[in-house]
Amino acid sequence: MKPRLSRALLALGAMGFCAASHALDWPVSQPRIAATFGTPSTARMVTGVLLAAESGSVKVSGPGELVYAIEEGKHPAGLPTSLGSFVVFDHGDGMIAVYAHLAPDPTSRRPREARPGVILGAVGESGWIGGKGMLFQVFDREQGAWINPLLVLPPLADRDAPVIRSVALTRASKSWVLGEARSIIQGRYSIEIDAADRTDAPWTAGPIAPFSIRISVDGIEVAREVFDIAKGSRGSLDFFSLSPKPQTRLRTPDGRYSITEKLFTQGKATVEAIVEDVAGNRRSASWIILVE
Amino acid sequence: MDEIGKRRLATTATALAGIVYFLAFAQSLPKELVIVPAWARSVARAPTSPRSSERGGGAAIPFRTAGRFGYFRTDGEILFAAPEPYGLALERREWAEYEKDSESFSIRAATGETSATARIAGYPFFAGERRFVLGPDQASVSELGRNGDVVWSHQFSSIVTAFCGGPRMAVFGLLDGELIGIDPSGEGLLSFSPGGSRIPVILGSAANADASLVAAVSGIDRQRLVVLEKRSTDYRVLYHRWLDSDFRRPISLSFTADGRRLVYESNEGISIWDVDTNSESSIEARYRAGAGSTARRGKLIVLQTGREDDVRLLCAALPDMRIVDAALPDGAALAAVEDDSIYICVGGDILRCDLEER
Repeated sequence: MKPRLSRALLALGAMGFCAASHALDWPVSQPRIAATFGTPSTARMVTGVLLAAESGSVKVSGPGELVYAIEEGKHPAGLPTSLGSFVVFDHGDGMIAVYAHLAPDPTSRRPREARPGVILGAVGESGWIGGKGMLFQVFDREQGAWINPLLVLPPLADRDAPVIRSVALTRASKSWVLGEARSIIQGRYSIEIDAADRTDAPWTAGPIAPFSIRISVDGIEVAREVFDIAKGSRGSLDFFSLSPKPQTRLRTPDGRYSITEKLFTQGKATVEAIVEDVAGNRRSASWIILVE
Repeated sequence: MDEIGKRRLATTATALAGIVYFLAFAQSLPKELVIVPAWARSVARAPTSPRSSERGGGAAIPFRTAGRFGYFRTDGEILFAAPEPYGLALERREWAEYEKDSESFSIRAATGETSATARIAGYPFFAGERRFVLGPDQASVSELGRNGDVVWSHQFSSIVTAFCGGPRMAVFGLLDGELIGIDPSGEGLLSFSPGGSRIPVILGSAANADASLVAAVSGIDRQRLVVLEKRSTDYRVLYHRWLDSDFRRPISLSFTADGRRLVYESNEGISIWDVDTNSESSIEARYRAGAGSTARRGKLIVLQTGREDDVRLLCAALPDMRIVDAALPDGAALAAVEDDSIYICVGGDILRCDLEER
């Protein structure tokens, strides 16, 4: 199968998966997002949604059955648990949910079968997490990929648009920040954007990733990336279903998302960036730069 | 010969036959295996920081007990007993403390010297004389070299649920039911999905020392034991069995030191599969730790069994004869089995018991 066709099928699968009737409920009662899917955190990009909470129960998000449960530091083979105490449920149709960083359960008796709302533990800070809360991840067995949980969870009330901090054109390790630089010489540049969504969470794992990023040059869309899936493949983690990009190349050392490459030819160029959160709040900005 | 003479002759013949039998066919009573206490040491009196030992004293053995960790020698010398940190990777040659959000850590020898410093986010763990770091996402692993630099990193398709580290191959079991084997250079030697179950997942994995055999317990509804054998270029299924168990957690699974038996947690308790005879046996006991620990030149397995409040020490002659089944105090843990000596940690004390035939 040709790569582009397989990617398109993957994207269609992801959309179908998300539109299925197996939408899940939030595992905590008052979710406050500390990191969205694609948020850059230490050494990796988050492949779930981190929820900040000082206390409270963690509920099973939908009907399902327990697949795997482990308490922090209790692996018989001595494997550490960077997800702390975590529980995995199969919610049917190949959808697996991971509930991580829970408060340890001394009895190690997590529920085996679950209806929506059954309590499986409490929020915690076990394992690698920057504050108190939990990580919720959704894995699609059919595609072998992590799915953005916000696609299968009920929408949250959100009227704050994401922010665009900067857009830069980069070539040979040198960056020109649009708005600061007036001109560039013609050639192929990487278009990088520093954008983040807003949150009222008391702590975050990093600048919250928006849901989608679009880049247009002279009115023509040159890139449209949606933080929909992430797939571990050939030893690296690729984000995006339509044009998979390894996380190591997606995030630049100075904190921007490297979205696409574009050849800029002599003349004036108008670069527009549009970012959206999952609730549809949109922010756009544009710049004109002279190409010499 | 009259009647009395016949009786005397018969009696004498019987007595002679008895004497001949006892002289010619006598067997000594079988020796009994007994556990003899050798020494006990309190970690409370040990130095709290590592120091070099000038005496020989045998190999250093790691321990964790009563909120402290360190090393002791087989002669009873405790090298140090430091307060246990948040995170600790501890094995025979070296150890590393790490923070909850660890981005760097030092690797230190049993005698305390720093052998390497690693700058990488994640939790270190050591196995098979190899150093690994589990990434913050539980789905990526790196291996460190002698200087603490990263030799290879691998992002798995899903969460790592099972692990077995060996000098030739480290085997990682994944949430999505895949089994991945990676050699010290980072090359993938094995990629296998046991399949056959309604829900795929790897709950336990094991490999023998030369990585010629790899085993896994996988799946839910039904659970399955699969043993793979290395052929010239790849691994093929050597043995498989559907299990009655329904575990939803990681399970203990390990080859014995000689690599000829696989010991694993099962519905029956402890099951043992013999590579050479392709037969299975089981011992009724709740398995806790010590899968690969053998004594008496591999004829005996030593295991920690029971529950949190009922810790037991089990010594069984292979394949399945229970020799010793002793209750241990609450909180006791099997520290090591070295030749014919068993080391147990009990509430801040380290005990050595020797297996002897008498």
